[in-house]
Amino acid sequence: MRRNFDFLALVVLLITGMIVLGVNACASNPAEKETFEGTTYKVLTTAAITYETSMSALSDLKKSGSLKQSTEKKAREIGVKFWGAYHTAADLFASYLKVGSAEKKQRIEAAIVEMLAALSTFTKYVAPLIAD
Amino acid sequence: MPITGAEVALITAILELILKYGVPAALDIIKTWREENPGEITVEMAEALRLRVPHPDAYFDGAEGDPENVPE
Repeated sequence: MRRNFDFLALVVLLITGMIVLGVNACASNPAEKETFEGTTYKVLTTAAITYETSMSALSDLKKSGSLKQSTEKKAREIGVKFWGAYHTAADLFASYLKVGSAEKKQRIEAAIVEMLAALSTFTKYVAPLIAD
Repeated sequence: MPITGAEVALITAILELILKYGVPAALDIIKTWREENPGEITVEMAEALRLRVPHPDAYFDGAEGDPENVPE
């Protein structure tokens, strides 16, 4: 089972790598750069997919009795941080779409940076924790 | 060296993980970024994004994906 956890950790890290590649690919594409809304939507969607995948995997491990209580507790803690950062960014984005402004745009950009940092922390913590 | 039953079980488990989590997630992410122009992003689309990320408790307490479990 230990090897299964290691593999799951690898999957989580691979997904994180894909996000970084995806964000970079988008930033280097001039056509995409022009669409702030499109890029923000894609970044939020990608973060949501990563979170869903990681949490579903952990949830299944719990159901099968393979998840330590301490691991679950830690996953909840770091998951909550990402959850908060994600919803802050998503709420700001929804608000921006209703009534856009340069100030809101700047706040979204800052929120996205914070959310990606939280996601990175989430995946980095989850990987070694589930490998314990 | 012959493959033992434990090794077969391990390989099966790894393939299961790849098929269940890795492949769908990777395909979703690739699909998301390959779409050059997702069209006009509406408020409804942004609201739908909120429902995609339920509180972590929802995954561990048996209410996975509960749309009520999002901050107000």
